[in-house]
Amino acid sequence: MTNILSYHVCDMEKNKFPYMRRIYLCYVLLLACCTTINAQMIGSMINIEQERSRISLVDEFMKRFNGTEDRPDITSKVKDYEDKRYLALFNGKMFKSFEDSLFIAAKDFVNRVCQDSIILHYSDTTWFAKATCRGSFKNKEVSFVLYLTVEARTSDMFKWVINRAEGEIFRLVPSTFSDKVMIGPDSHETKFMNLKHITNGKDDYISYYMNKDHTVDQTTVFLTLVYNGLLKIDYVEDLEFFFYQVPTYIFSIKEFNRNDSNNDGWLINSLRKVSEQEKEKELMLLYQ
Amino acid sequence: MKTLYKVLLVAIYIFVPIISYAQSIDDLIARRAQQKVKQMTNYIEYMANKEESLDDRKEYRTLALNLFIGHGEPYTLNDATRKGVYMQITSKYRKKPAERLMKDYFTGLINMRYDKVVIESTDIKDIKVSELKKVGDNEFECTCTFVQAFCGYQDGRPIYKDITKKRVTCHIFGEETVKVQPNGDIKTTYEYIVLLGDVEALETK
Repeated sequence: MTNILSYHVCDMEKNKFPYMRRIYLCYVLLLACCTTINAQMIGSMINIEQERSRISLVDEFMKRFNGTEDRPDITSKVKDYEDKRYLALFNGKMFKSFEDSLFIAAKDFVNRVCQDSIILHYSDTTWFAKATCRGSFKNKEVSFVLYLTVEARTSDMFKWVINRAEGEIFRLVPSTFSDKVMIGPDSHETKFMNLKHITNGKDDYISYYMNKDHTVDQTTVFLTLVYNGLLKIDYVEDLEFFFYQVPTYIFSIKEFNRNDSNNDGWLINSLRKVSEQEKEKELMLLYQ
Repeated sequence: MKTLYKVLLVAIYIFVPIISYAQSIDDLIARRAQQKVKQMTNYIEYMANKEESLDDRKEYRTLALNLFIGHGEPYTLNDATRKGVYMQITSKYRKKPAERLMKDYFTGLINMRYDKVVIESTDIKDIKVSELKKVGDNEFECTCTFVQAFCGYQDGRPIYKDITKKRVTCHIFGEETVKVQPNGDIKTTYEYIVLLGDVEALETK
């Protein structure tokens, strides 16, 4: 704007028409004013630069991780492109300084990703979703976690499936402690006629009647409650995706919703260095 | 007449870019999904616009609902029956989302108690589309994202403003069409129909 303005002013001076210069200046100022007002009225509510930088979809996170899509301000022409590209995938608020141990760990992680040319795929079995749900059970609000993975239906069709459920309500812990609640030792002589007391008495004592090595499978409890219409899922309160594809690392992403920052959307929010054996064990728990 | 003119403009706006930009089926479907979403945001802007007559705004509501699966009424998808498409709004200050049937949400837009309402939405080119996921023979699913800014005026002054980031599920159905070529050959092609599903909104004040 300044350049255009100065160019025309010089031009006018050459022509020695001072009144014309004034009129022209007024015109340019008016035009500039109108443009500003117009911008405030129309285009100002949505910060489009931020929206373009924002990682709005999990697919978009994968594309940026894989380098098939760039953040508009971090292209291959930028110095240290690879480092910047990966570091832009992290929640910047995790790092307090360049010396922060988390930042150093992030840089090590980036080196490992580059070194092994890691690519994330939607169909990978090495990523999963952790959905913290809010629901209602016997008219009480409850919270529990569901772990979901992508499962192939055919070679080109997939779906999300629930692998595991976790939550206090699925543990079936008795409401009070007792070491006397049991099926009496001579019950066999009366054809276990006292078994009916298990269900007629306090329902939450049920695990006292089981063998001492029995462990409750929380996922089965979840299925049973839903199957019998006793548990309702109201909404997903929190959602995280965990990725196990990078050797010796596990990272998770979470969605951030910021007003005026390009560091927004689905960003890496946790990074853990873990042995491959440990990772395998964790994944086994999910798939068993 | 005004309504028809706008509908015609929207239709031109939809089909012209599709023809020029579509390079593959995936691209074509993605473009079509973007167009559908843009069409919806346009209708939302018209619905909330108090300068339009009430009858016109109600008509935009009907047109907008027609973009959704089940037209805003109960529908069946993947063998499961649903009450209708929903608009779910979560705020960064309130974890529990508010949920409304789309038809009720649109009615609320028409009846807002502001003197003037200005709604601004993302340009079509800035609507992001997720990778197309196949769900059946010639059936796909994807998600589109867009931003909507809302400003409500009372006595000529803005009294409420919010910016909401939205994601909408798009259901794509391919329909077989048979065309007879000038030489008499029969060519089978697919026409892809995009119907919008539930909308998730992330509110930023």
